[in-house]
Amino acid sequence: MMNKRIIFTILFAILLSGVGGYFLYGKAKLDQDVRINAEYRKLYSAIEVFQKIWTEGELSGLESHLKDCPSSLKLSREKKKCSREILHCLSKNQEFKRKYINLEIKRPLVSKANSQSPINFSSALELELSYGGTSLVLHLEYGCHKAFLPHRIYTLEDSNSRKYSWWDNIGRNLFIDKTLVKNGDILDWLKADSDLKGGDEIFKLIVNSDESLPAVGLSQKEMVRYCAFRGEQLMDTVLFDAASMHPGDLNSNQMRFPLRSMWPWDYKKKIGTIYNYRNKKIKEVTLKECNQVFSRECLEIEKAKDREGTHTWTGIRSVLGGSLEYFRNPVYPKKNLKASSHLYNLDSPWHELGKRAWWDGTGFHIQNFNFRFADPPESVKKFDVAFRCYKEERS
Amino acid sequence: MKMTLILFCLMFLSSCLQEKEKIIFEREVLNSLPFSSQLLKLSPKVNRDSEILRPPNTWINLVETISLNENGENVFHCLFYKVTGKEEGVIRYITHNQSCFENYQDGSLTDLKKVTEFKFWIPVFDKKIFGKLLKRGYLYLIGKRDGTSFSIEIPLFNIGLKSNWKRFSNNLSDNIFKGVFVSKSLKPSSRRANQTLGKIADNYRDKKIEVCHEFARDCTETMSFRCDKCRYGWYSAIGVSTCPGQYIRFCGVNRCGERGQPACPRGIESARKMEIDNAMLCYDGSPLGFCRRGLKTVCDGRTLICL
Repeated sequence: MMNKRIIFTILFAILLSGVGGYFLYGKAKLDQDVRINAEYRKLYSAIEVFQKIWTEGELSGLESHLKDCPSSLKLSREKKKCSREILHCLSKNQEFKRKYINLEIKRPLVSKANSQSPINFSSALELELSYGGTSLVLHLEYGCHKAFLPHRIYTLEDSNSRKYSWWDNIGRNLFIDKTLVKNGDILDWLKADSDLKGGDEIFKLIVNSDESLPAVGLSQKEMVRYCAFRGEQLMDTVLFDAASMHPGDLNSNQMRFPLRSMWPWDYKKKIGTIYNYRNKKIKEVTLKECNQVFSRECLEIEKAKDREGTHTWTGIRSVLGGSLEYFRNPVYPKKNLKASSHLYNLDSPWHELGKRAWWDGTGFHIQNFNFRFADPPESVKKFDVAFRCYKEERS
Repeated sequence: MKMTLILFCLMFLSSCLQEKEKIIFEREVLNSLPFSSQLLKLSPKVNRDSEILRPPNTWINLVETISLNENGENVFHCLFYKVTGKEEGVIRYITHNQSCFENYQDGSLTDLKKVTEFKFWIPVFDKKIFGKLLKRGYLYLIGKRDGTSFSIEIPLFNIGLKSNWKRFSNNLSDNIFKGVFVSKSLKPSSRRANQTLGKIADNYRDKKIEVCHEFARDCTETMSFRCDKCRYGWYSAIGVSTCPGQYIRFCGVNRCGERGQPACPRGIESARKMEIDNAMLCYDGSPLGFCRRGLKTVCDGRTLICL
């Protein structure tokens, strides 16, 4: 009886220690699993914060973390969206990283042209988030500043059939840059496009320029390459006219008669800032007029900083005034330059939609241009030509 | 007394093991399923208000997705459910280097056992159900174990929903977090062969072009859409299909309208407005494309081009 008791006790003790040992080992592993789960959950909840910062420009509660970049806080809500500058600023702020999550910008521009793995987006900023021993990569798409071209019929300047004909994008999804390509965008591209020849010259041209200003000084080929690197196309006149000329009835996708409006604000001719100025209903160019069309007079108005002018019916800007802009014109290749710019006074005939000059695409002196019926002032020796891109998406 | 103590220890051990099983299951799932880039297959039993009861004692496939691991290799993810029957149900999570939708036994398996009242959801919009808010784009495994309710919420970060673009829309992908893609950090050593299509100088006239989407005359798809693999973007042109909206698509820089290049698409609605018969889209002089002034549209048997 005593022996049986001893044997039972020994067996029970062995069993207990076996179970205990298993538990201790298992507990350590379990603790690690619990920790990893918690780290993932923390990272996942941080993603929502970054998404709001990136796509909505939502910075409330983050102002103190941006004190080293005060210019970021002064930006309009629209310009805070898809802002590399803001993320760069947050990634340098230790307080933000302590409070939220550790982050590092890995690459300011990733596209299919430089990605080492298959990606489902066209172009994005690459960010690494880490918490504890766990890290994730976020790709934040550069898509905030694109405007959808509504599915409808548009008028085409096409004298092959009649003076005007039609085209439509029904069944195709086209997105147009709302504003011009900026110097900051070009700098990101130069770092990312390792196969580019002549990148050093472009870099020297813009490295000391304000990153928020339109990029100028690129040749046509370089403009095409920049857009292509991002999976996009250089803007063409057909799309630009469609997105900037008022189509008349916004509630219909049809057009009863060919309409190529002179102004972005209305399809009627005798209306708006330029018509009123030409007809002496406006006597003087002030900040109000400059906010619609940044003409030559605006260079003298101190408060007129924003050169992008009015929004069109699709939401794009810089359609009149501001910078010279190059497009591809598939129908009339010699009409490839928006001449309406700060080179001309507000009463210049250039300040109308659809009126275009020509640029040979290589140089930036007067001999590289043909301004047809209205030359720029003789004092201007060198011309800055900007550009933008567009993209087609699948449904 | 001793027996009571032993029984108590065994019950405590059992519940600890159950909890451990759930933690391990969650860890396995959270570690990889959220990084899926594509939803390959989805069971029709998704998003039902009632529990999955049939067929009992049978493994049913719920979902299959694909992602990349840290080495840049494809990983397939599958979720299965063995429906409650003689025994309680089991949720199985599988990762494999090949498709797992038809095979619940191969690959790396992690089970969550003793599951009852199981429901499987991937809501397309936020929904209040089962006493909780189910968020759009998340995958939910909901049920009971030993009488206690559980709900495992898994974000599917990179699986976008169908976009409904209109005026003022931007083109951020409609993922759970719009415009955001989430992946694992790739190991620096992992290199993949460049799987993108096309070169910057490619163009139709020089017969150096990658087609990325194509239809035959009878409207059958002869090449499925692969333009998302184009290295330098893509564009649409008029092919030989007689069905509206079926464009031929090429990788690379759009030079439409130039001599020898595809004509720029005019659009079927515009062609109708011009009272042109659209029965045959690709023919010489077709108005379905437009060209540079002085050039005409010509059908070369594959594409409407400008000459």
